[in-house]
Amino acid sequence: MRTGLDVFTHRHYPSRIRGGHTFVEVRAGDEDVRSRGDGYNFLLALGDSFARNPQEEAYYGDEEVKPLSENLHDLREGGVIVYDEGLLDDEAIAELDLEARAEENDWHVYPMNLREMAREHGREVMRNTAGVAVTAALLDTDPTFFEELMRENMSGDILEDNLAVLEDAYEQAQSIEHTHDLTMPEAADHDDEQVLLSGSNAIAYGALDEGCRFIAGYPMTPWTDVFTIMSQNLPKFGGISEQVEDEIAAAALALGASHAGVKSMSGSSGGGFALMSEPLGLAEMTETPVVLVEAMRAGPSTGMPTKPEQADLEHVLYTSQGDSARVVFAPANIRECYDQTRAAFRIAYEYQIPSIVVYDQKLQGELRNVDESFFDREPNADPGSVLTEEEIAEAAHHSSGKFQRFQHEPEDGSNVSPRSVPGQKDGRYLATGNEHSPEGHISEDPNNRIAQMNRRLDKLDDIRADLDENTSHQTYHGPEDADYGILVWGSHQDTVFEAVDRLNDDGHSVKALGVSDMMPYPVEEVSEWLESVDEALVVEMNASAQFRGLTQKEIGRFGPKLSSLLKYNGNPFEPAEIVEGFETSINGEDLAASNMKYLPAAGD
Amino acid sequence: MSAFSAIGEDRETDRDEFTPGIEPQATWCPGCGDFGVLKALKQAMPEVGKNPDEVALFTGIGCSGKLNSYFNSYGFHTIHGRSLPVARAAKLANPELEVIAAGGDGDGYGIGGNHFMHTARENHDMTYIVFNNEIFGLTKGQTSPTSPKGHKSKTQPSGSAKSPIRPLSLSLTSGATYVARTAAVNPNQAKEIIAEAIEHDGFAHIDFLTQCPTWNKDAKHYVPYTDIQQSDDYDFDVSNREEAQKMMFETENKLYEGEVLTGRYYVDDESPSYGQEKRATGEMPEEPLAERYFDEDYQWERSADELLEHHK
Repeated sequence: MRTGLDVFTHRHYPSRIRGGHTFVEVRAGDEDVRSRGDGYNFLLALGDSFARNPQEEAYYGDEEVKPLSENLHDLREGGVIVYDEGLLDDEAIAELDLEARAEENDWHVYPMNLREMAREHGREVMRNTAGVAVTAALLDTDPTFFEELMRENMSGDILEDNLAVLEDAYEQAQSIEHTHDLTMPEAADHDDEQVLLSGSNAIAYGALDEGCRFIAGYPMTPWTDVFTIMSQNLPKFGGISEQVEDEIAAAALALGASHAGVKSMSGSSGGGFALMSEPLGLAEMTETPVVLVEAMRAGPSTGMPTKPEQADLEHVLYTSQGDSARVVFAPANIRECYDQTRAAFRIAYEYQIPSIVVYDQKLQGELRNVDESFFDREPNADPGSVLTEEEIAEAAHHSSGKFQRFQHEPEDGSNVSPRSVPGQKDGRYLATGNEHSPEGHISEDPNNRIAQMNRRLDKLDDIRADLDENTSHQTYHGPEDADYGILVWGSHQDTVFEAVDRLNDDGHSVKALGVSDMMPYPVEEVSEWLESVDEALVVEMNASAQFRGLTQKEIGRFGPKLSSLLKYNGNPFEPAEIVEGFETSINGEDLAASNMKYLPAAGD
Repeated sequence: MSAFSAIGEDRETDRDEFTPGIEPQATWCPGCGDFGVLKALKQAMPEVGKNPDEVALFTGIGCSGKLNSYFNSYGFHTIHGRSLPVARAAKLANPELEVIAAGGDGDGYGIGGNHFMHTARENHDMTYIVFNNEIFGLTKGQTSPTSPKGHKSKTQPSGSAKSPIRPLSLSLTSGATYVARTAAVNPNQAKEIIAEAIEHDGFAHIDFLTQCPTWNKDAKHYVPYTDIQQSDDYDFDVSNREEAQKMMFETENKLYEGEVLTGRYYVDDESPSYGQEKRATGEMPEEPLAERYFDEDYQWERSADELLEHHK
């Protein structure tokens, strides 16, 4: 990114205590890089430092060779391979049949003794630095960017040793004969300074800029990311972070702090979020504003903890007893994570309703560059529909003195009955998970019940109107008059957009709509878009087509137009897979790929 | 200028102020021990100089959870077992609030047991009253975590095979810095203990024996009782953890032998409260966080100024 390139990364790692085949995909280009792309051109196989001793029939296979062997099938023709010959012996390489495969695919193989270079100047772990230097040399990239990064992040002997490894490895790699054509793309100039961050960063920074100063949580992958970022930064912002005994407590604490006047959040991933169901329902019933984050990973149950999936949609929409009254946003990229988290707070505190931001392991850890100026915004710490003591003095009270916190018909004609905060004079009321009277006292009166239920649920219509008027969280891509559509939600949106561009270049007539508002659902917007296409393919990362189901439930008349492309093997979609899925959908053929599932349209 | 002028308001209060005009009469069964808690709590308030708008009372679910329908203050009737996490966050958000949590023995020692242990461990400056009637009352008499071994009920038809929880010992082990037991039949002691608990700077736990004349007729209204501080038979130092532990053990055993011991068991005035600890580590602001949202002059920090540098 410092070179001026646009960057996209995705981390692959197993749910293991130590070691295992862990790797990062980095895609860099001279224009907006929107997805992980298809396959890759350059493989740097560092080797697994924690590999177990290879044994016959070992459960995890021969781990030492995995960084090389596991990724070869995705390496493109003409690609470059660098592996550490200090770690992998000739026998292992021979077993892979690397030479013949390289010839067949026109791969260029560079065995380099990274281990030896690292040991010579420093320690074994500096093989990383040697690998980076070799990559830079082979791709004809200026190594001073890496030197700069090291100087900023290291010091003393560690810095000196790493610099020595960098220099030596760079020189060695430069001096050998280069048989490949691949070089780093030329960087395009950005008008703005760039910052490199993840969806988790953006969610945390959005929360902080919207005045959130309290978080409670319990560690769980991949939610831990937002929780950690908030915990490390809240003290600087004069806020409070609490790591607590379980997720029930975490959500309950967020409610308690919010009730007492502080903008608050909590969150978790699948199983932890399940524990939050009851506090979530309490927030709905007591109209306590709160923002919860759900970082999805592959389920059910413990599932695949470090792999992305989008199968918790129905879970976040409907978990907890009774009729749901909540807001759910599913941002698609870094910018949307920031904007929609801010919107989630604004809506939660203005409308006194829980808001959920649902994202996944893909967006959680993926790093992308964004204009720094994007974040140059005014903060908004407005606590929303809260009264001051002067306003409370003028507000409606029961004859006994209790403040009417839950009026059937609030004075301003809206469905939001303003709240007081404990400690304010003459603001006392009762908040309860039971159905309650305007003062908050338990009531089973049928007329009161209807009035309170209607007011709470009608807020969703008001929020829909507010969102339609002020901001669209839906993203449109491709030619407006296209015949076909691809409907997508969450972290795969930009991958779909890349596929749409490719399809149009290939002569197809297709456009895409990325939906972020899961509840309240943008019925009008999506209906209008679906009207405009002959057929639409719904792309999502789960096995039961949950978003297609939601769309059919909410709109109820486009079933015959909607087919699904589903993937649930733990790896995010690549653009080529979406191209393949789309072509299958319009050709009416069977899907050739075995790592995805195609469901044809089936009516409502 | 505080946005919360009820807090620390300098005026005399009267116990009647704590009776809500909207629901002045409790609907507990005649003879229920819960009336004793309500009365003692109301009586303690003027003693500690609190007014209804500066007190936040958090309850769980059960007969005891109805306490804040009958007590006039800010109230939050939460969910079963979860009053403590809601309450302690309110205290962190605004440490000037007088935070009290209450619930039954099933609520606090059963379903909410994890929160009880951890809230005690963290030593939040708050008061927790557990209505201990050794039974699930609201759901009509099932065996609870404090029911004696062998207790027969519709859900334990052959008698409970489980030994009861030792609430005082559990509290001490978990980290509470004020532990007492009182009984509904002993209103003066109850009032004094509640007042002491409120004034204690740390987690104060009161195991409050509340007879259930409807579903637990065996418990015999917890009379006669002995106040261990008044009795010549017991002499121990409440600030000594080991002595407290022994006294608690004996008290818990004797309850099931028919002898009711009450009083203060453990008082640690030295340990800092959670808020003090957290401020000392720089992870909690000196000024109550809740005030900031009403401060029109506060310059809110921006991520663009503070956090983007290391992303370049």
